[in-house]
Amino acid sequence: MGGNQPTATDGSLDLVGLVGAARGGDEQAWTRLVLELGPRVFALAKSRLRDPEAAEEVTQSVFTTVAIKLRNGAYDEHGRFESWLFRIAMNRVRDHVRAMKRERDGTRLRAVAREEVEGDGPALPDGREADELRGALAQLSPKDREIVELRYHADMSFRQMADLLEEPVGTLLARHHRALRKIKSILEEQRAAGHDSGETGRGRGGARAAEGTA
Amino acid sequence: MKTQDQTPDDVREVADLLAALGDGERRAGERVAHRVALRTAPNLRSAEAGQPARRRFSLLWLAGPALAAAVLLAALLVVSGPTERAAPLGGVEMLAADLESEIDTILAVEALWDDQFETELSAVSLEAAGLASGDGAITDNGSEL
Repeated sequence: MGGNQPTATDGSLDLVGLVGAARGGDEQAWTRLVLELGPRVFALAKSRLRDPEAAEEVTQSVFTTVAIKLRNGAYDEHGRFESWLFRIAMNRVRDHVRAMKRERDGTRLRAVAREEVEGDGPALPDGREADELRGALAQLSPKDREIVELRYHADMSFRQMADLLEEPVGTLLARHHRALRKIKSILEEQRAAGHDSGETGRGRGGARAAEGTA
Repeated sequence: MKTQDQTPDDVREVADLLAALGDGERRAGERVAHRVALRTAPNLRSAEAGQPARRRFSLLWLAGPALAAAVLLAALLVVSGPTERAAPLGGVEMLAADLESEIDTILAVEALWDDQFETELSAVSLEAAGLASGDGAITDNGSEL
């Protein structure tokens, strides 16, 4: 133990170095890689799936795939590891969402509802506020929701997103702004409609229904 | 904070809320990441462990024919043994043959001596016997004594 972990000259994490070391079978480098990127993948998955167990399952699936591909030399993105990783993650999340839609398991939906009520999720001071925010997010179009989740859950920069989604940065900035305006509008509507009264209205129910959509 | 860059002012509040939401989700993901790292590491390890085995297996494929050839050669050596074994021992056998020949010669010469000796001894004996019986000795010049 105690091997030197690759760091860039400015002291930040050297992702290229870590990936290279992991490809060579360095488990310490691998662990560092997963600890660095795993939470972001988990947050992305959880935002979409709304179920922490499913999100963990997807996260593990993603990193298992990554490890195998590194081992077999199937990673050849050369310096675009994050884009490659999150491409795998997004595909895995989509597959899981489709599976959940097919399943339409009432138990799973009740588990999600319980999680929301108990506030086991974001560290927002007000659990209800987090719930409203997630609900609003679920009402976005798939493309707009994707931008928001990649930006705020997967913690990606616009440049990284442009590389991942193969779209210009300007397009993504515009889409991002539009998405945030939409969320703001939804939140204002919910507050205006007296959302405090409970499971009524379009907001929460719409969010619950929309959470199964890709 | 992420929202401070490239975020229009009219949606900054929403961006801040989303950033806080994402931060919380990632913090929850840190515990998950520890478990995932442990569970997925063997996927690197197994390949590394398997590669030597695969290398040994592939070496076996190469060694097999070589081994078979070596066994065949050894068998050929055993089967054609005398001819091939004689080659390095030829010198010794030649020497032995020479010695035998010399011994034979010596024995032959000895035998010759023995024969001659016996013959001459017999002749001398006869002469001696003649002299003893008075049958007249014959001098060297052939005259009687």
